Amino acid sequence: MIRPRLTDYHNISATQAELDFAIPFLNEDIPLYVDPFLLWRSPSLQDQALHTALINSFNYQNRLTQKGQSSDAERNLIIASECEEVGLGVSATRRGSRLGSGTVQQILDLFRRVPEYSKHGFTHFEEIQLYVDGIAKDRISDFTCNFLKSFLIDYTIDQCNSVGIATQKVRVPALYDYQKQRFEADREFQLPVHPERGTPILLVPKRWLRFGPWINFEDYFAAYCPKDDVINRQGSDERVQVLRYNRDNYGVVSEYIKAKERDAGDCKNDPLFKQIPIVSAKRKMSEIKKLSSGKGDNADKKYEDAVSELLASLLYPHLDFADTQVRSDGGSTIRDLVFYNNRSTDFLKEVLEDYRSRQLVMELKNVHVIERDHINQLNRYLTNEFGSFGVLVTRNPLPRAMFKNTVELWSGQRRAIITLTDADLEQMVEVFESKQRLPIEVLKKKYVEFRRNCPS
Amino acid sequence: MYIKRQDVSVFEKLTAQLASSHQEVSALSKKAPNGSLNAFKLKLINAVLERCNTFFGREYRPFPDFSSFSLDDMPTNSDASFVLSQYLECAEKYRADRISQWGGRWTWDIIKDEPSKAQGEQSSERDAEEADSDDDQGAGEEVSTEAIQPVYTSPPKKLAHK
Repeated sequence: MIRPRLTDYHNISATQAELDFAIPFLNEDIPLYVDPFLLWRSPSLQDQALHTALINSFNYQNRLTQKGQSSDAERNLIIASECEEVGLGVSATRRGSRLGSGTVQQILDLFRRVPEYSKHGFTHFEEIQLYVDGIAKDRISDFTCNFLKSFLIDYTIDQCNSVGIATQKVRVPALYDYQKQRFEADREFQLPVHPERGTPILLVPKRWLRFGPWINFEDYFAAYCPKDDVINRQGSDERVQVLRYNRDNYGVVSEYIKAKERDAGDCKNDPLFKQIPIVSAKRKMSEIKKLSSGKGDNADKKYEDAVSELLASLLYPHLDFADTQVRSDGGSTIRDLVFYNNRSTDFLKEVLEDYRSRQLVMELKNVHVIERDHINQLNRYLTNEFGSFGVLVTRNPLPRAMFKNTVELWSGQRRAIITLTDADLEQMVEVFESKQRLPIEVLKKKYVEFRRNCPS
Repeated sequence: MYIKRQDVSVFEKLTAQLASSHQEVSALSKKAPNGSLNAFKLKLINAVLERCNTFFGREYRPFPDFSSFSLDDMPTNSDASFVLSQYLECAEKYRADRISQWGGRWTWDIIKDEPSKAQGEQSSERDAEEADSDDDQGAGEEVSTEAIQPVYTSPPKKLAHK
């Protein structure tokens, strides 16, 4: 499969929109991060209590240092700096690396250096991004997941039972014990595992995820950092100088935090996929209609980009977009869109049952007239997870002879190749706007029309 | 041609539903002719069309190979508006064929007999009934008013416009 997900592996038909957790990919990370600020501002008492537990656990590392157990504090933060089980971030392999001792010492040093943290601890530990180089959204997310791992394990078990994901007994390498306030090694739990590596997978609620934390260095630097003062005192406003300045000027950071807390109402989780607004969809359609067919003036690339963005939005949430693919066939470069077939409608169930298509492939063809070669290119590609159902997205309806060709493919090999033209895309945009029908029903309409012409 | 008395109210209800559906869909069609009709409205319109097909029979169906909309075809507002207007016209033809002037007013040509009888027989039977009821009246017996009570209606559309 293209970008296989845990649910696809376990044959779960739910779409991302229907599930409470972010569906993890098996072979790469989800490009989102846990933002602890979302727990802090959540109206849910459970999330607020989890935030309190998270902050207590982080601040406890200062207590360990004060008790002369700084090596334990250092060890805890090193372990907490990487959480492979959740699969969040930008790694293409779901594997990351832990922080080094030097960086961890800089974090612990903040408790000593900034009196307010020494006395009261952090309320938002993600502030450490404003003091320590090398700490950004990925580390904040990993610290959060590791300190709340016990909750994530319970959550994962609960969600797997509810959705039907198979689990097995597996060792979790490091689990933070809130009562003992330390990491325990190799505890066993009934969890979903990676099918090849056998490593545990933890699920994360979608409501905790953003593309980056609400409190972050870039936002602080852009709008709140007194750059003139930084330059005066540090000589430049480069990142390292700003971090140093912040360590000596807690008041500035504090004002930034207060401002972010005041604007907490604007802090929302980021969905894994966001549909383009109706206005944008109409604009994209208008762009597509104006494009000439063929490759002149880069029209084919523009067409493919516009259609990719449009179809991914129009077919959401009934089809989750997997990826765009570029492949070669007989010297031609072909661009496909691939969608996960979640069987979210009767039509999609039929596509899976009759054509074994676990993923739907749509080949984009900015040509005036579809030729036999184009149909053959798609036909050759319909194997494995794509089954024997494919879609040609092109400008105009098939000529009679080509349509007959597709009917013959069905008759001879039970392969269904249907087309979506500019007119069909326009109808999809129209129903996307009017909400009277669903854009996926246009795809079904084309399939029904095709089948009516096939011999029974 | 004749119509059973009880079928008149069925006809009137059907045409009222056809007319209001047409009005609704035409309004939508003016705003968005290529807009798709939602599944809920489509199912209700299909229910009306199917009752029309049963009531009017093949002779008065506007299109012999059209019986109802397919949800999968995603008909547009203008498609539905067109079909409903055709059904309304055919309903009017059905009515026009079953009304006549009586005493200066237009009435339905009512029959009390079973619909399987030929229409020619119905006509002569009606005349016979009327003759019998006249005789009965003359004898002082009570006559069923139901047999002679007319059901009024509007003139046929073509004449109404004159």
